[in-house]
Amino acid sequence: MERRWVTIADSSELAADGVKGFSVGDKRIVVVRYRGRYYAFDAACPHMAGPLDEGTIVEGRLECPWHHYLYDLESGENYYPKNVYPDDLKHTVAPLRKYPIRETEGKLWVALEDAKA
Amino acid sequence: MGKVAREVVEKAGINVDELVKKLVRAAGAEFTTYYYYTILRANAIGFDGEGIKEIIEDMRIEDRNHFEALVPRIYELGGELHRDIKDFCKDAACPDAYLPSNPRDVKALLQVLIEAERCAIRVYADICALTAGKDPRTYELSAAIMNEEIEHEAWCSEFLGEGPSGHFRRGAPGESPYVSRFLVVPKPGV
Ligand code: FES
Ligand SMILES: [Fe+2]
Repeated sequence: MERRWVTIADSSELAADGVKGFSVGDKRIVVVRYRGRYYAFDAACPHMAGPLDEGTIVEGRLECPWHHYLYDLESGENYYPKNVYPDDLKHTVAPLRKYPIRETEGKLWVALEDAKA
Repeated sequence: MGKVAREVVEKAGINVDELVKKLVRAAGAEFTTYYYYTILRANAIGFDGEGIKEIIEDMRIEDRNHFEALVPRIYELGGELHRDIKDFCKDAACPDAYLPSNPRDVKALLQVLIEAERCAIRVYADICALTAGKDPRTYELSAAIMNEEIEHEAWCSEFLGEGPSGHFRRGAPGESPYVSRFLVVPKPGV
């Protein structure tokens, strides 16, 4: 599928180590800025569609405000509770849907079409 | 429901419906944790397991106390518990604290406990931040619960060898030194 890069905001809109939601068409995207790097995910938490754009960063992970699941920023994989779930239940915890993101000349660009889970 | 009790919180600028949702989720986490800790305590056996049985029991009973202490505040604010217990458990603020794949692995068991306690601390830190200076009753209740969750984390952390906590045992199992003043049920040991 072809990449469709869309600009979503000025990068100055996102504070250092900040979390912010943006609407792109009918999509809600959460963008995280952490230690100078940007990450973009679907804002609906894969658990029960909680608002990840109202989440916080906890030890370098994105925390959902509803049931406090923690997601790894690099991989989008669930960290908690997967790290303590018994082996037969680990597969029940889904990862975030991650989008490529880049900063160019003060603007944030997200590639929507080649979204990877 | 307390009409004025809710009004004053609204007037202080809090979205009471959102606050109630957080309190119901927190109550769900306490309730489910009480259940799961019952299973964990039952499995805390053997030379290592018996050593942590006492703190699991304290944490288990105190989490039940947290549930008991939260419920009146939910109703005072015009909220209610879910009609169906399955929805209540599904909406719990923290994940299920399942028994590890190897129930005899005491370190894995402690890891389940400490993650649950850390989650609980974050839940009450969030409610405290929302209510500080605006809703003293919910704030004090949440701060009291958080005090106990912090101690629970410290006990587990100490067992995992992360560092000393200064922990000394409760006078009675599940004594709830901070939350007992909010309890509508008789205080443990009284
Ligand atoms: S909806 Fe995000 S953790 Fe449940
Ligand atoms: Fe607890």
